[in-house]
Amino acid sequence: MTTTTSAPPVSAGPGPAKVRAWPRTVGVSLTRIGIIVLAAALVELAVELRWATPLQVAPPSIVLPALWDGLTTGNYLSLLGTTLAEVGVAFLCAATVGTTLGYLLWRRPLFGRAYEPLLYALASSPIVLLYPVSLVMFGRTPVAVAVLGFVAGLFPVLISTYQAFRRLDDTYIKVAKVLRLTPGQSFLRVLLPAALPSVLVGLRLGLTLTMLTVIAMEYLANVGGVGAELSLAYLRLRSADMYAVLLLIISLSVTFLFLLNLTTRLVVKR
Amino acid sequence: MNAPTDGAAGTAPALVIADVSKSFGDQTRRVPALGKVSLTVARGEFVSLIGPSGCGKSTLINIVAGLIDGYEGRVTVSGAPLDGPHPSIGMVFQDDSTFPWLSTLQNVEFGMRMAGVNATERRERAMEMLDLIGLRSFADRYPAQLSGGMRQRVALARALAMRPEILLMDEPFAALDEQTRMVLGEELLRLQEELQQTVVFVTHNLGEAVQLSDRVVAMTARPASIKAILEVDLPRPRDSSIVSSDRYGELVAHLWSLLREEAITAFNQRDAAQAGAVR
Ligand SMILES: Nc1ncnc2c1ncn2[C@@H]1O[C@H](COP(=O)(O)OP(=O)(O)OP(=O)(O)O)[C@@H](O)[C@H]1O
Ligand SMILES: [Mg+2]
Repeated sequence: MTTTTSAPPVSAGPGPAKVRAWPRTVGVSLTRIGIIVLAAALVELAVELRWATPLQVAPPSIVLPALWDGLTTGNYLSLLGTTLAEVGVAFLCAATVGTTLGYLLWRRPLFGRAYEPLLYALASSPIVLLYPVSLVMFGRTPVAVAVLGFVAGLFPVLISTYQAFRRLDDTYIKVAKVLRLTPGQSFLRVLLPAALPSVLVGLRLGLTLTMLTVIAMEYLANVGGVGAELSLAYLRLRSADMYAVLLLIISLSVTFLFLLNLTTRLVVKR
Repeated sequence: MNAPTDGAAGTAPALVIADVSKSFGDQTRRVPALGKVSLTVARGEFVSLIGPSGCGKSTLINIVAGLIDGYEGRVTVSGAPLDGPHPSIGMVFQDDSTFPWLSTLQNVEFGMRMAGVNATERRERAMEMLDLIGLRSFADRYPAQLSGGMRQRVALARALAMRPEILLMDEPFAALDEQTRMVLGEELLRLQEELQQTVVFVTHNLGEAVQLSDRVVAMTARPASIKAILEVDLPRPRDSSIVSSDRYGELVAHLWSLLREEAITAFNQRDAAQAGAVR
């Protein structure tokens, strides 16, 4: 194959043979969008042909306008803001407290060993089911939601930080000592950067759990942002709104993960 | 050449190890790791420690590095008693110790940066070191993009950039393949001619010890004490062609005759320890 125009096209149809290879990422993106569009078209078709009733499945032709209305004239943006604030505050607290406690646990091996199994158990338990406790303590407020989101995100961050420091290469610590680093230098310049990649894994997990818990509690307790709206739409059989809010929630989590991936890539350049 | 110590220190030997011994464990189960060891290393001298594995070489070198305390005996550096990690002692470790989050240049600059050397001088000295170890064109690469041998050279440059009076090397080539190891050995010889650095070098490799050193200290099985000290009378400057000389062969053979018995003892110690563990 050649790109010069004078060469006769090899087994190309009529017209100029322009088989340019796309960058791979473009192909991936196109395929991804294509699948989504195809799925949406199938849903539309299914409703059109009455395989499913509009109550069971709202067709995209209704959901998308509903989403647009909600965003422009409705209260979706403020709902989104509430949820974002809950997730944001909860995650920031989980990240700060989790990394600090994880580090302290490593510095105090006795506590580390004593609490490790307990922490694993907590990290894998459905914290969201504690929502009545949070409601009782903080009332039907976004604060109650954020607190539960914080608790849910805390344990994975704590555990991964503890593990990250435990798995630190002993040689790094020796290098820091031989180069006579101050305790502050040795933490900021050696221990922390060495532990960071594993800590970031925990932060990802923490963010996911915080987000899930926040939205689930909003739904269960009918308080706060998008989760509460989802439960309202469901209870009132407003199927178009329900799907519109679902779309909103999914795009929210996709955005969060995208941002997190981006930061990970920026921080861990190795 | 070396900044911080001068005056009386100029005449004292670089390193004096006097009756140093060390045991690990508590009252109930003491493991003597190091018997009484006394050794004096002159300025500019390259001394190797060689002995059976587990005999206590790392323990000794870590004591000198200030990484282990609670030992008996005295260590003095340029005439002053050792108290924790010493500003004019540098160290290169067996395992990769380059920081993966820093570029080659930043790794070499690291110690100076922490010590507050200003940016211009730091850059200058780091570049000098990169030239010395032949990695200038890799200044902006990260360790993950370097081979194991290159990373070890970066670690060496990081230590040398601090201009230590004494450089400690604990099996720095042990994790590398044979050929890389020979290349780095040759490089170290060349560096040694250029810098006249005082080096204490731990190795398992008889040939490496003879090729590089002015003296080779043969150690006994654990707890290590000094079995004999071999003066290496090969002419300097040396290069790797020295390994084909008769004298080199004789020295290696002699070293092995010193170490053979200790190696067997250490081997049996390990067997016994394993049998003990099984019981
Ligand atoms: N922190 C420690 N606690 C208890 N025992 C230790 C400790 N460090 C070393 N030892 C023991 O002391 C002995 C000497 O260890 P050392 O690492 O100094 O040997 P080595 O000569 O460097 O061995 P190798 O050739 O394998 O590197 C070994 O039996 C080891 O198990
Ligand atoms: Mg050792």
